[in-house]
Amino acid sequence: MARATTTQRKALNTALAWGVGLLIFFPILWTILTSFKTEAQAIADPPVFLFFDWTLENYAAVQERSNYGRFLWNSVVIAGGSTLLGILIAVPAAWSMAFVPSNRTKDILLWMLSTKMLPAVGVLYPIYLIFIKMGLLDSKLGLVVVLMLINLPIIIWMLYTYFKEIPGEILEAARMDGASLREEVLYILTPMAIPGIASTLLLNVILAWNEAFWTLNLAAAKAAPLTAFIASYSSPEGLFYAKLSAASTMAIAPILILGWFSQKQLVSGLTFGAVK
Amino acid sequence: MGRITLDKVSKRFGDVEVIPPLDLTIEDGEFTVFVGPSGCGKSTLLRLIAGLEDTSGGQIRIDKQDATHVPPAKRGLAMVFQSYALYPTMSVRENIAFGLKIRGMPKDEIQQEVERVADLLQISALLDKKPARLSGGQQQRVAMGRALARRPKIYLFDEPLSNLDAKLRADAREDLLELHRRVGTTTIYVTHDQVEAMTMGDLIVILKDGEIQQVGSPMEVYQQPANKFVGSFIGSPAMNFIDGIIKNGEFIAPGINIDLNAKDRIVDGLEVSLGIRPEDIAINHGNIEAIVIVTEPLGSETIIHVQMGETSLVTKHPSMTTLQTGEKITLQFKSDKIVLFDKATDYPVNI
Repeated sequence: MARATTTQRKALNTALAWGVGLLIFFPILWTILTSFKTEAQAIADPPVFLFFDWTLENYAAVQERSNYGRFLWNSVVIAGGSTLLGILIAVPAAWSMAFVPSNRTKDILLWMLSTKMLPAVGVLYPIYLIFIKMGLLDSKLGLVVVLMLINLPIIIWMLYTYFKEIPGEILEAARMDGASLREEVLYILTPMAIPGIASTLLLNVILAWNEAFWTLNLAAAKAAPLTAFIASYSSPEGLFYAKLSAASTMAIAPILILGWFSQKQLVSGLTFGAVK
Repeated sequence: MGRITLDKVSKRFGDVEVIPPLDLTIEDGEFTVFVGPSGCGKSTLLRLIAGLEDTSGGQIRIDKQDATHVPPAKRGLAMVFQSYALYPTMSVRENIAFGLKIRGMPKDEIQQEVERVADLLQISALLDKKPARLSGGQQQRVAMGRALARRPKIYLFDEPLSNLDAKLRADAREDLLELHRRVGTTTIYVTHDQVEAMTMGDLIVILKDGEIQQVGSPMEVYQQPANKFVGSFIGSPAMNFIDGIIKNGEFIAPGINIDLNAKDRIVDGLEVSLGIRPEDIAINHGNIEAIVIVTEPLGSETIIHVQMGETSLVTKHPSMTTLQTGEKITLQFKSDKIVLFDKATDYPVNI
């Protein structure tokens, strides 16, 4: 039986959804607002919300003090690189788990996910040592590899669920048609999984973009991405909330815009298979 | 050529033996139907022949060549799947052309071949559409087209019509047979529908629990079932079975006494099941007494369920009747249509 939805109920639901949405968005909004305040207004008590002297001086100061472009470029390379590398490894892995599962496939999936349950700091020391030995400290390559490994379980899990939805008979038909494994994955599976792969890519770029623990610990200057750019403004010399906010706003702007334009894709991808 | 020989082919999944070693030969140009209830191993057998599953033992030969470990595409087969398995991201044209492209056929030849197949199946108007925009019947044709385009030695069909509605299925069945008559290629057709098996097959292979129960023409399996299972599986309504005992060449069961004229040929005291098809029981003849339970008038014929002592039987009467529930009638079994099965071995007993 369909539930009766009254107008009143709908209005209530809408208000509730907006409320929750705003609550989640509020810290970001507050950061953006603060970035346009003077340092004095930023720490004013009671806080000012909209009626302050809007200023761009923080952005100018941030631009002057650090090279935003270089950090941005590092972020793009690290987030993009780790995502692409991850997809290249995850597609065959998810293919084998989805279409030629063994008795242990479920265990492997769970085991992979369990690595995400370990506090990252627990393996910081060994990884740091490995990085020193291999000369990967403060290199983009090192960060690409680490972030790829960190997010790989999630990429494989997501692709695995998408691939599970693809009927095996279609791949068998391709095999009967004479397609090699490479051709089967390239011409049949991948085009069918494009929506799933796209949302996996997006989510992973966002995760890698925002990843702070490893990027802060393994990079100092040369390879430092935007997370380090933000961190450099919470300095021991004193708190500069307005400048910190300006730096944060600049750091999240690209990913926010990317997320905004791809939200439809992202939502449909994340709820894929959830509603039948 | 397209002759298939299965030599002690078997298949096990883990510890479960789904197909015990079996032998089967399918001659070139034959239309063979694998039929059986779900879970009987018919699809697995087809997939073994296709090469989509590895055999656990035995040898598959195609035209005298050992194909047991040859990859699917190199066996010279084409398969039509139950779900059609069309490539959803490709147009109909690309679907049909895919196998040819993979094999490196020149573009203009592919073009020609696609058009030939599209003509044959009357799907030329659909060539630029995506599969999702086609009806079930059209999708089925495209799936056939994809198989035809490769000009294989052997066609494999895995319940290709089971997703169509009844009317469309009858049409598609006819088209398929017509096509087979024209191209004459060896075909293996898997179905759970015994009507499809009877109407389409030159040769019917009846399977149960992975074992071949009988191989024969539709008439052979209908008239001389190799065991009780075949008798009850082939034909609708199913064959009637009555358990009884042989005495002095007569079949004896509670309330029934049928002289088989086989006095010296059947051992006295043998426990048997007597099988008789519904249409081989004549009504209001003979001396077997029964009571009408239900009549199902189908227009051209009437199915009559009767009770005979403790046994219920189904009979088929070739016209309308005025019989009422509860009415007393007499039955006669056409003696030349009676089959007997040894209860102990399930083998037929010669009368």
